[in-house]
Amino acid sequence: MPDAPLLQLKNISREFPSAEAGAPLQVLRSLSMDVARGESIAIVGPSGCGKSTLLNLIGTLDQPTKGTIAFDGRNLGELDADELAILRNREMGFIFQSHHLLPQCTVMENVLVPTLAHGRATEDDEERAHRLLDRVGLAERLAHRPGQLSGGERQRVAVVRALINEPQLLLADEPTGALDQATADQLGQLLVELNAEENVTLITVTHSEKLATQMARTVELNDGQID
Amino acid sequence: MTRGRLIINSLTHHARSHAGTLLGAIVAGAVLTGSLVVGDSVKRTLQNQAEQRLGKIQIALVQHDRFFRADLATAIKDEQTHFASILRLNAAGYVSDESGDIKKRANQIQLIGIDKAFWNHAMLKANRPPELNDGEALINPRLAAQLSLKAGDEFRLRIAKPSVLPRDAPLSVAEDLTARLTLTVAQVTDADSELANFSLRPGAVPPFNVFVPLAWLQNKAELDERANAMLASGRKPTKDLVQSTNAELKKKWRLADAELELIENETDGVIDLRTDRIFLDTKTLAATTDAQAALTYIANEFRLGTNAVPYSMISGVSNGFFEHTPTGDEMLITQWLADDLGAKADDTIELKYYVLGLNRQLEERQHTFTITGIVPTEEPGWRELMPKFPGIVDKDNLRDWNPGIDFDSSRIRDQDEAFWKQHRGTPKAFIALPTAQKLWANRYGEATTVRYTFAKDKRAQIETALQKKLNPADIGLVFRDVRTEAITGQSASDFGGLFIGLSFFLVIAALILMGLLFVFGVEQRALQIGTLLAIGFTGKTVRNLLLAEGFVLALIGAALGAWAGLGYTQALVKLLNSEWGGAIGNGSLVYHAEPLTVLYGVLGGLFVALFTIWLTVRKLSRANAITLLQGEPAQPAAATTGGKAIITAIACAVGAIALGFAMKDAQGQMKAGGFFGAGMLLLISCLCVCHAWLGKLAASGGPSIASFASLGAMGWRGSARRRGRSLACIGLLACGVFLLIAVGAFRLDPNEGANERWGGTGGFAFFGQSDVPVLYDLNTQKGREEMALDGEIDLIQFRVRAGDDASCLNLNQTREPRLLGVNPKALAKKNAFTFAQGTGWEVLDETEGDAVPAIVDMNTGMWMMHVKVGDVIDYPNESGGTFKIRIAGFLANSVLQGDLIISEKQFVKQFPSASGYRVFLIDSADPKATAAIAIALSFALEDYGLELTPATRRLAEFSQVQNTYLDIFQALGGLALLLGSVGLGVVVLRNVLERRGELALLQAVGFRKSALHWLVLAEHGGLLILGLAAGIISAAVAVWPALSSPGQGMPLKLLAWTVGGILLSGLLWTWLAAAAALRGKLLPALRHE
Repeated sequence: MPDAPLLQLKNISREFPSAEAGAPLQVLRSLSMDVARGESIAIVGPSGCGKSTLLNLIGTLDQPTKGTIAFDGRNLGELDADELAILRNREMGFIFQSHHLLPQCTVMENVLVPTLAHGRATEDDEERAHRLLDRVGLAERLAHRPGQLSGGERQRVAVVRALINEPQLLLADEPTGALDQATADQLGQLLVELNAEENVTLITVTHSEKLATQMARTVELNDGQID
Repeated sequence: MTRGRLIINSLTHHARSHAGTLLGAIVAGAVLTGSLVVGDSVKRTLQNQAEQRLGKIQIALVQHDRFFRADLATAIKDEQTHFASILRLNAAGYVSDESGDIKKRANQIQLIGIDKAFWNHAMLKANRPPELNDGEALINPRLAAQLSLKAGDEFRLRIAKPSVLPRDAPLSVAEDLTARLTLTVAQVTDADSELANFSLRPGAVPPFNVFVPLAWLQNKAELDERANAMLASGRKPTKDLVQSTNAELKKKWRLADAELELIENETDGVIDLRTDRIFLDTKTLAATTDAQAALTYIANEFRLGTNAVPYSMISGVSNGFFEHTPTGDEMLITQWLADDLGAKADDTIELKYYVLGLNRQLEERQHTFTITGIVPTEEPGWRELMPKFPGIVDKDNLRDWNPGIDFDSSRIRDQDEAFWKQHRGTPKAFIALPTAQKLWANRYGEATTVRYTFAKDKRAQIETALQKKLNPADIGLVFRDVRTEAITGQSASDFGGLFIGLSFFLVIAALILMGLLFVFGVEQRALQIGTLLAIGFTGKTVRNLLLAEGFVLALIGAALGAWAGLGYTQALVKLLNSEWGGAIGNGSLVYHAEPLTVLYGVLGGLFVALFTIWLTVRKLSRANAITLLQGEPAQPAAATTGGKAIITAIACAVGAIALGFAMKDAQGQMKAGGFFGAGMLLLISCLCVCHAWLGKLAASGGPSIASFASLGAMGWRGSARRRGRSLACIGLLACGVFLLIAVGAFRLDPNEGANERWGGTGGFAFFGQSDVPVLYDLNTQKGREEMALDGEIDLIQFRVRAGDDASCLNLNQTREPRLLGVNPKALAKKNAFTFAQGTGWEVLDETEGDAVPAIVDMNTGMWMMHVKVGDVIDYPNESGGTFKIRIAGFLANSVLQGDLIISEKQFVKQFPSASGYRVFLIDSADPKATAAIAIALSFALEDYGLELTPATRRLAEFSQVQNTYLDIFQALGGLALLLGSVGLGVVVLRNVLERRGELALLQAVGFRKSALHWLVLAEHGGLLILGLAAGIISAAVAVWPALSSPGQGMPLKLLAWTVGGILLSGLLWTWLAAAAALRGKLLPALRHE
């Protein structure tokens, strides 16, 4: 279904139990949204509006209290934990504000870690890792460990790691939040370019207006709803 | 990139944090392997001992109170097997000074008559056997040490003079029971090559052995060409050797080996079957055919009115002996008797005779017979009806008789003397055999002669027929495997398991430390785990990756631990051979490790370490990626409530008080158990109070400033932050300290109730053992007179069937504990000893089915024999078979440890040949007189090799085993708690590292670093003190009976040092952890926060 949206969110709500015995905390309220294949979207909004919660729901790290999320036509609510893990591994890539690289692994190894989740790294994986690392300008850093890289370089490794399994969807949670402006700009540009080159749908949560403007669409969240 | 690579990378990257985990695994592995190897060491020690006591001996034939031809060994020999007959006797040894006073003494010596064949069983056959002349002895090193003897020295032995006729048999002579031998030491033999420690039974210590020439000993013991044990070894496997040798024995044995004799008397036309034991047993009688049996006995008196004839023989004869053989109470009298009494047919005659009670108590009885006929004074073959009664058969004059009954020679008249001279022991009257058996049959037999009609070559036919019908095994002529079990080195207890139990705390402490370190490592990697989950790893996969890391650590730890464990074993063996010698009866252990055991240790260490790691990561499969990515712990603690804790605390405290009151008048181990229970309830109560208090502390604050009035108070509040962790610290310390101290409640005090009947001494002052059996009841005037013992004495006497030492001093596994026979009423009357299980001594008289009830000390039953009350076991009897023994009761810790006790009645039924008493409990009704009685008894029974031990000392020796194990438990437990205090330091470090930001904030607002140190110390020191206090208070209740009993020997100093050590170690680690966490600049942590 090439024309069907990659992601369909219908009336999504997410509540969290309140610390005091009372009404639960409503973070997302009956939110609906479609995301087309290859699209790049920035989710923006004030702190506490539910941006990261929305990203976690899309990324199957959390489940909605109400509503359905369909990914590539599959209702995510009908998948069990193992199926969701496989989906996350094969179809999605994650980039966090902090790179969360494994300090014990080299750049190359870090990139290949996702291939181990449900199998082992193949020669094709290694070739792709080489190509992507070369693409992001880290071809000379393959055997380096995260501790030997700058903040921007670490985040670029995290981007490549997110792309290694050729995902359809790339989710980025404040990817430039921990970087200086210049590095942040470079990373933003890289994400946009990779969105096009790798034909991967990109959803990024950001406070950065500049990054948001680099995306094809901006979705503004306010009090758990799309404005 | 592979998962293996990922695991290796993680291992190397986190090497520093894994070092602690590895250390914990090493300690756990070391303790496990070390403990198991203690089992190997005990096994090898027992194997060495077995080699030293058996040499090459595979099988042995052992007779109790019977003797066979020494030549039997030659008769059954084959080319592949060496046989050696030996004569073993009990002896007591003395060394005197120049004035003749006894300088050194040794009891329970094995005096062994050997010939050259014996040396075939020695371990080094190539060695030239030591030369031995008459009057010379080889002695083993233990005896040499005991008597301070060396080659060329002279020493004396007192032996129980063996008798073919059992000493308890009616008409046996109870005098001249012992003989003195003077010997010169030819050589002190070597235990490793010359079978110096030869013994067919395993014991706690090597025996005292004296080897002398067999022929010389046979001569001295008046047992020419006799032996009572035969040893065999050869090339055949032991199992085959037992079968083939017993088959050969069945073919080659002779009647003489059963002490039977066929006497041909062509002149009288008879062939008589007799025994030197006087009485022919029922099995022998049943094997005879076409013959008449007779039972001849001594009549004290025949009386008809005023006429009486003293001391005459009378025979009971079977049908066919006469044309009109008497039946019922009919009697045929000889012409001589008829003339002397003036008797005629149809007159009634009063017959008086003695019967012998259990302890040679003579009872004169009488029976009335009617004369049915008069027979000639003597017919051919009649005088031979009299058995060879000792003290009679060889006397020329009747007045010189020395029978084993009261004999009044003044009653002998001239005509009696004349009859004796002319007709010797010809019976003066004949009665029916069944009547005679009713009157005089006893546990030894039912006839004295079986008479066959003479015919040429008939003797051989009779012998062949008897040999076919009789089974030599019925009289104990049977070889048994003495090697297979002994050489396996199987011990009474699984020492590997035992030491794992004793080191349990150490293993647990190491594992807790390891688990803590591993889980903290995992917590530090929360972000990584979250990332892996986010990029598609399942929780299970992440858990398995961590488990794989743990597996590598556990494997390395177990392997290194196994290596270190060998050192741990060596240290334990050294301690067991010194300070902790009491645990193994002060024996000597050798260190030995089997590769397979070390492998088991590695696998065990691997398993427990991996299991612990699995426990710490098992919930990771349910971990939440978002939470982890936010830096929260992977496994948050569950919330708890405090209301239930207070209710539980009150209920447990009330229970503890109630139990304490209920048990205050209880005795012994029951009281100890009760107070231990009360202490445990109090411990639970204390922990519940702590739990509730921490909850209250967590909820405190708000408008009041009281709980935040000082830095210390702030620290206290901090301990409620991670309630689970804090409570775990308190609980671990409290439980550890409680167990460490409270096990002291089970410390045995030999002096507790020493003069009380319920005590372990049974209220007896001395425990005595003699080498020579005492045949009389020393509680009676007559018995004391016979033994030349002055004054009154009150004692309990036990018959003894030699067996294995089944006391806890013996490490060997025991199959046949020594069996004692006692009059249960005597012990019941005194209400002696406490029964841990069972109703009392009377149960020994209550036979159910064919099983003989027995009472045994609980320690012996549980740990050595591995039986429980109600179990039925087989025990060999004298006739080569077995009988069933039912365990009817357990005695609480007593001086009777190591023995199986049955009633005397049942004992003599199963062991008719075992004469007299060899174990004594001497009463202490009057403590002042006791010492005098002991001296008098020792003097009177000097020749009997009597060894008196104060009952409290004997009890103390047994108690020392349990007490030493408690010492070991407490010492290893103390080590464990010290290790546990390191764990506390780790918890502190973790807590402080988690709160670096918070502490940085405090510094930012003006707190000095020293104040922060104090804050951390107050918080964690409080937990330490709470844990110790809860443990000590509860344990004090548990050990209250022990503390209030004088001289019970609680190692208060050791415990104080241990608890003090734990407190100091805990504070030290807390301080170090705080210092480590607070070092450097704290303020950057604020930015991280």
